Amino acid sequence: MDTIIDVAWYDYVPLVIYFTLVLGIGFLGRRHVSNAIDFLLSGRSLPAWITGLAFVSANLGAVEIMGMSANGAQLGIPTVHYFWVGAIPAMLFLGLVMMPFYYGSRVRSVPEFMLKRFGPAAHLVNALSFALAQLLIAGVNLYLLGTIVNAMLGWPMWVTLIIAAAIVLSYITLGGLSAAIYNEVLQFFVIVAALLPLTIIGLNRIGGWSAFEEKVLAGPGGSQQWSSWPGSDLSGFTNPVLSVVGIVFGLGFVLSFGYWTTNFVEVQRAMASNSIRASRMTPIIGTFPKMFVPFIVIIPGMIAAVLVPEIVAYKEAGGPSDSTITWNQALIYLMRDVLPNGLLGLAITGLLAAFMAGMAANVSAFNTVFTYDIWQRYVQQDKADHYYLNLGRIATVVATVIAIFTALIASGFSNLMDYLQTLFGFFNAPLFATFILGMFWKRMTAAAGWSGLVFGTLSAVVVFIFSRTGAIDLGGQGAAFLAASVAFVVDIIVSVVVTQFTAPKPEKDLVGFVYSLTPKERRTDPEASRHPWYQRPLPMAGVSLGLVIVLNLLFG
Amino acid sequence: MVSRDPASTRRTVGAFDVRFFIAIALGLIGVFLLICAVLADPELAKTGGIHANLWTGVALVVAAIVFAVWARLRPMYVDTSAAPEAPPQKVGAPEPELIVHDDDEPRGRTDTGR
Repeated sequence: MDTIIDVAWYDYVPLVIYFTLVLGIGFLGRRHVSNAIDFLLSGRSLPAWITGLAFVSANLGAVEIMGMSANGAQLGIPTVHYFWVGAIPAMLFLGLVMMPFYYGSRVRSVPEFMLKRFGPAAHLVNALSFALAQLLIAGVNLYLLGTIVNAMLGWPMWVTLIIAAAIVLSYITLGGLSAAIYNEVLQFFVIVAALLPLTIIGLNRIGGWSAFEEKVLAGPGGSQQWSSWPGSDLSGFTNPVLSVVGIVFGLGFVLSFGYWTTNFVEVQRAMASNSIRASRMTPIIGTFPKMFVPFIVIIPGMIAAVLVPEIVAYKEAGGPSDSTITWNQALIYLMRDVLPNGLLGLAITGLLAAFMAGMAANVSAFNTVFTYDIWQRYVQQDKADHYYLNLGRIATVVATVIAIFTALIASGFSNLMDYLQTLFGFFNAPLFATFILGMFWKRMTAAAGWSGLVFGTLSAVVVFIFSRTGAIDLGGQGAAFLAASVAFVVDIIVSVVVTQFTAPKPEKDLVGFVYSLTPKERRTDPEASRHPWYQRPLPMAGVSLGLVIVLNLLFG
Repeated sequence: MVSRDPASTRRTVGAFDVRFFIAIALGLIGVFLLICAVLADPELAKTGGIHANLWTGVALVVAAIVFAVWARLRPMYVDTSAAPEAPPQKVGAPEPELIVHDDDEPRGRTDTGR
């Protein structure tokens, strides 16, 4: 079998070390300290630096690493918008504004917040769309994992899928949900250890930073690829003003706020922290590693596009679709060209760790929402604890099997999966509109909650179909930005209109869920003022924002 | 007021501290890379002259030591006396007491203002 990379036998050593440890965390968590660990992890008791790293790590899966290095290779520096505009502000907003409601209201999941604020209809819409999205994204993660393993090790697709699924399955069921956060923190450091040397050695091969700049400027994309603004290639708007507006409002506001503030996979990490202050600090601490992730993900992609002969030729040809090379392979080609055996094994380990953890996060979020938000709420209400525990295990197995089939389908229709995934991005935009309205407007009614979600999502789908059929002509991410923005606006209009004609919930039921009805003690941490400034949400959010602005200026 | 009597209510999480796992993972991989650096071809043409396995190995071992020392000096505690979950949904209920003690908590001021 032809592979891109030549692996030596000892390149498997880091792989064995890492996966032995991951499974070991599961065993230890189960056998020796099961009380303490359950207590520690599910009892809202972790310090903020751990949950903060897990927060970033849960998002650092296949789609992020391969996708963003691919974008880096294709579009260059403007890809940083996905981080500095499309993630940091939303993470800060989650920590400063929204986290007190999630944490203070003591809900177990994001759909449960929907239930308590808007009642069953909105809850069901949210829980079902979230569960479905997680299943399909787990499948996409698995499919990407399969293609990568195939390119690196040459195993056939179906063998890869089954082995990867078995490993993910064993580490979810073995360690339980409780060990997931530990694994994510561990995985974060392994990824950094894998990608940082790749970046540094790659730059060294080119001849340093200034030689790198020269080569990118001389490349097919020219100076557009060396400065982040206006980012026309990324947004698909040729007019620079429109492009900036599209990126700031479409990506920076609607898409990213929707994703970061309502995605249960992320919010769950912050919910596991030990105080309202720590829960608010979780995404804020997370912004610091997050803002530097582009340097070990996008930069290697760009290095590949000027250093690796195959990718250079591919880029010069404009990325033809009939080529055997794809942008997604940029990172793997760079690994082949610059890493000696040994370090190569570590790099492979880092990538596999990220992909499996990403899939594990999807599957375990699916099983929580399926078991507690769907099954326990609507199918079997009053069963003993172990009934739901067993159900959760069965759901995990079924979800993994479904993910294998989704991955097999995706391998036949890779474009289709791209579309599906973009589509699920749209679910988040109306969700964010509903949440933010619901948190600050006590009049907003239950009927407005579900109808806003349904019509918002439908309008995004309509815009998306128009753009696919050519009725709306936007390249790049323009169509996605537009669809999300339309969904956001439609959701707000529908919610406001429906609220006028329906009765609001009684105010006493909204305590803890709406800003004006929640006493200050519930929203804030009375102990916060005793902590030094670097352990308080507001000052740290200010530092983070300042750093991102500086980074934007440096690469603007 | 949380009792700070170490004998009755607090114990360290011991080996189940994520920093030990990080130290073990990075340390073992670091040692593996150092062995590669001695035994395998450094492939300097690929790396542009950097002895990549050697330097990455050194960096990982140093990082592993830092994590192990940090975990040693500032152990994480579990407060076994506190209820894991405070009674839910009480209006104006105070936040539960901090359960895990780590370097996140202000030192020497635990008795003020409670």
